[in-house]
Amino acid sequence: MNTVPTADTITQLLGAEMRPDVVPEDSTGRGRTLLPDVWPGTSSRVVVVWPRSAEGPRTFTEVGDLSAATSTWWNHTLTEDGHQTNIAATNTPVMVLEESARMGDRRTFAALARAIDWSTRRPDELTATIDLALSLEMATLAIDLAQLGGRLFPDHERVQRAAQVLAPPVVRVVRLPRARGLDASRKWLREHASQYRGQWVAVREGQLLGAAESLGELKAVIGEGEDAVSTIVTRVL
Amino acid sequence: MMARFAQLLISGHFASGVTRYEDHYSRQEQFARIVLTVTVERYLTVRAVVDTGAPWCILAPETVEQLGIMPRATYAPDERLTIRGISYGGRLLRMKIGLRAEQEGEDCEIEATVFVPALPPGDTWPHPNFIGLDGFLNRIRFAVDPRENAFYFGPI
Repeated sequence: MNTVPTADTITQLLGAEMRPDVVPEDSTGRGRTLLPDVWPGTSSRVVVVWPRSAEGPRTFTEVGDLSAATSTWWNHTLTEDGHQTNIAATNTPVMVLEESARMGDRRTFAALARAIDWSTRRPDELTATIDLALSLEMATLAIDLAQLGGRLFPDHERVQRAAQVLAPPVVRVVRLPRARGLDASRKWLREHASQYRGQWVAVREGQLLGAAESLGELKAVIGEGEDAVSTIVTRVL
Repeated sequence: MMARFAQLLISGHFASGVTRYEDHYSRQEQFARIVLTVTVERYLTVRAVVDTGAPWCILAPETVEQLGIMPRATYAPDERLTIRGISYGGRLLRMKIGLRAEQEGEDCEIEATVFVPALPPGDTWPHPNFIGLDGFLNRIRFAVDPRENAFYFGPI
C-alpha cells in the first residue's frame, strides 16, 4: 500500500507522487512537509491512503467508491527516548472531508459529501459533516444531508434533531393575530430611538412602554396576546 | 393606502400580501436596508433586516432566551458559524416567522431555520436580526417597490 500525504490544495494531493510508507528519523519542519519528513512534536497529520491498484492522477469525484479512500491518523511526538510514532488506520472519509473543510475547499467538500454512501457510515459521521457544511455556509448541502440522515437513521436522536431543524422552510398563508399601530411605532422609533442607544425598547401604538439594559426587564410591559404582537421590541444599536 | 402594484401582484398570484418596510435601521442611516417588521412564534414583534447574503435567519439571543420563546426543535452544531466575518457558536432553531400583510392581502407564516448565537455572559448581540436566504427567502416569492417602501410576499 502506498501513501499520499494530505496537501494544502486538492491539486497538490492529486498530483502528488506516491511515496513509500517510511517512518521519519529526523525532523525537517512542520506544515506541508511530506510524510517522511515529519517534524517531531507535530501533533498530528492526516494521510490519505489509496489501494496500490490505483494508478495515475485521480480526482475525488472520479473515485466511484469513496470507501476505497482510507484515512490514517499519525501522531509523532518527541520523547526523552527519541521518537514515538502512533499510527491508527481507520476507514474514515469524514477525516478527508474535514481536511477539505479546513482548506476552505467547498467544491471538493460538496463533491465528497454528496458522493459518500451514507447508509454505510455511522450517524455521527453524518452529523459531523452537516456541522462542517454549516461552518462553510453551505446551507443547501446541510439541509440535503440532514434530510437524508432523517431517512437513514430514524432512531438516532441527534440526526433526527438536525433533520427537524434543517428542513426546507414551510410557507403558509395564515391569519396572524391582529396587531395595532405598527406604523406609529415605527415612526416613534425613527424619531426617538437614538436617545436610547444600547438599550432595549418596547413601543406600542407609537408610545414607548419601557427601555432597559436587558430585554428580560421589559417582559412585564410587553404583555401577552394582542398587546404583545402590537409591541415592537428592538435593541437600539 | 393600497400599495401601487398590489392589484397586479396579488390578483396575479405572485404575492399573497404586501407590507411596508423601513429603508434604514435605527442609528445606521448611512446604510440603506430593507427592514421588515415580523412576528416570532405569533408572540413577539421584532424588526429584521433582509439579507440575501445570509444563509439563515438570525435572532438576537436575548430575544429567545430572556422572553422564554420555545422553539419547535433545536440543533446545536459542533462547528461555529461565521456571521459578518466573525465566527459564533450557537444553536439552530425551528421557529415560525410571520409576515403581516399590513397594507393589502393575506399574512404569511414561514416555519424557518433560525440561528441564535451563543454569547459569553454579559455580552450583547451587536447586530440586528436578519432574514436570510436559504432558510427563508428562497422559499417565498418577494418583490420590493422602493418608491413606496412596499415589500410584496407570498408562497411559491
